[in-house]
Amino acid sequence: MLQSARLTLKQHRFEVGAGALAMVLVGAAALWVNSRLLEVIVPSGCFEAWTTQGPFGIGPECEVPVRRFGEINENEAGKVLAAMAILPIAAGILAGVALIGRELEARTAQTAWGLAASRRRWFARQLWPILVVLGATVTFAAFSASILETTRRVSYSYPYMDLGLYGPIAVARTFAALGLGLFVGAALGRTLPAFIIGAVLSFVLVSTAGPASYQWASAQPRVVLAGADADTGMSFDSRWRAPDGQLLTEEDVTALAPAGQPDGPWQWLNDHGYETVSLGITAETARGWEPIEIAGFTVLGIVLVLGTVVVVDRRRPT
Amino acid sequence: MTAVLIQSARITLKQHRFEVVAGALAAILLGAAALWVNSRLAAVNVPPGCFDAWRNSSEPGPLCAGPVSAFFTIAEEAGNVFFGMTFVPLAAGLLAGVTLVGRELEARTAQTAWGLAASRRRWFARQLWPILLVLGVTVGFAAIAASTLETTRAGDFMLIWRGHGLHGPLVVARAFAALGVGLVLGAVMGRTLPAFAVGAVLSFGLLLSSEAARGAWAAAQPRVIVDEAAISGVDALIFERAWRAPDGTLVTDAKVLALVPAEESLEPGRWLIGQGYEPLQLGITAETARGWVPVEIAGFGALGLGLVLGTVLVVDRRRPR
Repeated sequence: MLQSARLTLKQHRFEVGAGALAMVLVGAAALWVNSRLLEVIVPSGCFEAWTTQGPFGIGPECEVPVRRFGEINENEAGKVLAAMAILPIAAGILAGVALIGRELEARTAQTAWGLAASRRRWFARQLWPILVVLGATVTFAAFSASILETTRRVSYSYPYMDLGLYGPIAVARTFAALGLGLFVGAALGRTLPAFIIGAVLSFVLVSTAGPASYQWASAQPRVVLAGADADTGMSFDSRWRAPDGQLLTEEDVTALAPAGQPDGPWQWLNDHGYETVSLGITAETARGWEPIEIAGFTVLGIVLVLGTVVVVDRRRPT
Repeated sequence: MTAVLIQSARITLKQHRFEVVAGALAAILLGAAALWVNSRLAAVNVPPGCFDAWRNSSEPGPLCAGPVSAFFTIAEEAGNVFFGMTFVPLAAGLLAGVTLVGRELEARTAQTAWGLAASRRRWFARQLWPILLVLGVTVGFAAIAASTLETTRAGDFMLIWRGHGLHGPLVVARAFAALGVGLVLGAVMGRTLPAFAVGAVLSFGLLLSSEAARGAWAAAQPRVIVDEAAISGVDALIFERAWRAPDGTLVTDAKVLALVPAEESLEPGRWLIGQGYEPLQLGITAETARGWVPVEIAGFGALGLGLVLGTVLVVDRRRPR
């Protein structure tokens, strides 16, 4: 078992080595940037002051650390997370397309499959070492990126900020990319075309995840966002809240204000206890999308791996 | 002779059909998208003076607000085209490059191909020219279409380096350099996928280096006094503030601030102006800044040529395993 794993990893050393190295480097960079962000001691209340009063409304005791934090966040943390958008998926496709695609391209599949007890067993033996190496390194990078994301979110928070670039979703995306690479590689039998097609398909897949998450969020039951939820939740609409707690549309409330108000209807409404409120979903509800996306990408990955088994079972080894 | 050349070109294109067709098709689609977005932008027909009105006022008036808003909505679509122009020409060049020699080595057909050819150099030249022709035409089309789009989307507000390297001859030069990178890596490594991955990293590094070189070049140009009303990035690139002393000499901001008495340190500018100092901006004009474009074209062109010649050396000397 171990001997076969060693051979597999040696055979695909470039693809696995490049992917694993990239993940380890990104993970290490995330931890390094995180430590630099933590070194900047921002006094409590400074981020809130910056948000409400802007850079010129706060004193130097706040301005200097908030600026420094912002610089590291923009210039360094932003680059790490940009790398997390591409590298885990690239690592998955790269390893995936090579695993069977190379055997077919080099015309060694006939021998390899002929010598194995069964094609399925051969495929399982090829796959598991790649899964272990990629899984461990991508998990390390995703976990490190999660730590960085938690630190950088102090200044600004939005439920879907950097979604998919850290945590279990990044691992699930890599697994789906690996499955895609395996399937396309096995079907085409040529590594470079399979890599290109896999990259285009992954781009389409990841691009559809963003609108899907927003659509899901907008379909959730909406609540009045108040207090901390108003800052961290997702707002979709606004209403006027009457003194008796009833929620009214803009059309309804403008009809309530007597005509000919010197300062317009809004001042009259404010004076009479009406207030505008945001309608949307809380950050907690919004995060309900994360397990759905993780499950979606994982199921897709499993289906593609199983699809690869079918292709390996049935295709001509040339 | 011509018939043999055409026959050989046909075989080369057939052999590398996926890579050549994928690159050419992507470039054609991008060029067509650029022309389509351009035609929509041109159809908006923003009345003269509206862009100025929009820039100078938050309420540009009913005659301007509609067309300017429609123009900018479509201009956002142009952003997608330019996003594609960042990657597609480089990817097309690299993709075609790595396969040309790399696939022969990977499939172990190089020994036969090189053995049958009159010389390895002639074999390489026969392989290269059809790819150069197809990629040159299609990437050239995309670059020209993107240039047209860039001119239209700029309105009358042309940022000096906006869309730099994403339209015009520089795109073709970059694609040629990427082709060279792909060729030499494919020939050295003898495996297409690793060569493509390494080439992608190197091309990204090349782009970043060219950005850094552009900044360094601009900073090294002789600085001139720029009009006080000039906007940095549009009319000129402004690097520093300086002062003209009452005796006419130019003094840097740091030096002149040392002259300000401590009690005037809160508003040093007012004190200096009171003493007869005139504030100035130093930088380079838009015309000087645009002088970088031919330098970069020449740089990428020379790099591509050097890499193609380097591939000739590798093909000449390498074992055709």
